[in-house]
Amino acid sequence: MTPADWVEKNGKYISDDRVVDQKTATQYQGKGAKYIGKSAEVYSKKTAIHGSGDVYTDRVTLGKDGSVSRAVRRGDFPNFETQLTLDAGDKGVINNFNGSEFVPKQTTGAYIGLSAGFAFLGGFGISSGVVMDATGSIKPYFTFSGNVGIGQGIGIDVGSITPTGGNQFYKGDFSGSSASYNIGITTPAGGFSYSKGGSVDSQSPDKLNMNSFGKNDRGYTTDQQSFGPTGKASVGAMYSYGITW
Amino acid sequence: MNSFEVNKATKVVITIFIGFAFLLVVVMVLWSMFKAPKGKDIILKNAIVETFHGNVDSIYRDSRNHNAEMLILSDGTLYGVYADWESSIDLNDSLSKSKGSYVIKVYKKNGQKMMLDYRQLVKNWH
Repeated sequence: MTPADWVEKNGKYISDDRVVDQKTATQYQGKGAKYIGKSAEVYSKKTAIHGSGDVYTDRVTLGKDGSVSRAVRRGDFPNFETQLTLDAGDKGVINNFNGSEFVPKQTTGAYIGLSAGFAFLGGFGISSGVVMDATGSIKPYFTFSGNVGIGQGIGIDVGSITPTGGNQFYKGDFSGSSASYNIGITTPAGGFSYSKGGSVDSQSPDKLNMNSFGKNDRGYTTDQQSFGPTGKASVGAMYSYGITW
Repeated sequence: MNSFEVNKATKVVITIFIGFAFLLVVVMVLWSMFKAPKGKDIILKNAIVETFHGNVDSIYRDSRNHNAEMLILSDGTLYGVYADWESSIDLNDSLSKSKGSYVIKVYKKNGQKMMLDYRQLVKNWH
């Protein structure tokens, strides 16, 4: 895994592999972002209101490996006691006494959107929503796809994005060619579909092969669940190839 | 031909058509799972025939192709860099890849030599 560099923005500390100094921190995380470094210790204090009145010192350690660890020291005690450690990739957030948030290094992304499509042997579909990357940045997306198979429907899509390599997924990586296999069911109680897909090389002759999904430069795979309206009982199965902007 | 017979025939045709479309996708999925080349094999198959030798004249990101880092080499080759190798190649480095090999030799400006091996690249892929 690439060494992590830490950035702080609005009290939230995140790890971004593209960041190497203040200039790149602003470039990738926007105005107000502050470059922290490859590792750091962030201290905050709190005085007990009731009882002893001791001052507690809180130390959050941001590791080179993307981990985040919190330790607390009471009063004049010599040692800090570790409370919680989150390794790179772990889900969760550590908060300190100042209310700052510390997120361990992430590589995955996610998206949510609305979609509509059909296939009667051939067909097409559209979808639009927002994609969030490994650093928490978001951007809107729009996808147009051609479909093969049988089925139709509209729904809310919720998907996870896993980069193929050890890199972080960034929001710009979402744009380009992608493909997926979808299977869905509609019942009087509601509609549900599952889709497995990923980025593909638009020049590749292997686009129909599920194993080729994500095997391109900055490639990723997706797992998606969709929830649709109620309807007459039916099943559908589709292959989709699309372009995302 | 009365209307009942026409409707029945139409229903049969539509049912066969729907069944065919459904089965087509199922067959494609099963083919991917059990018969098609695995993702790593696809990469290695393409890598073994690659050949280029030149200096890195330009580097840019292709925003319409998943933000891939693209290199333009002095021999005219346009090469897309896999994300895990992005930090290993810089402007003015010299790259050498021969047909029949899985290794890209990277000659850095400071005289250092690096080997980027496709077999190692795909080893840890998801």
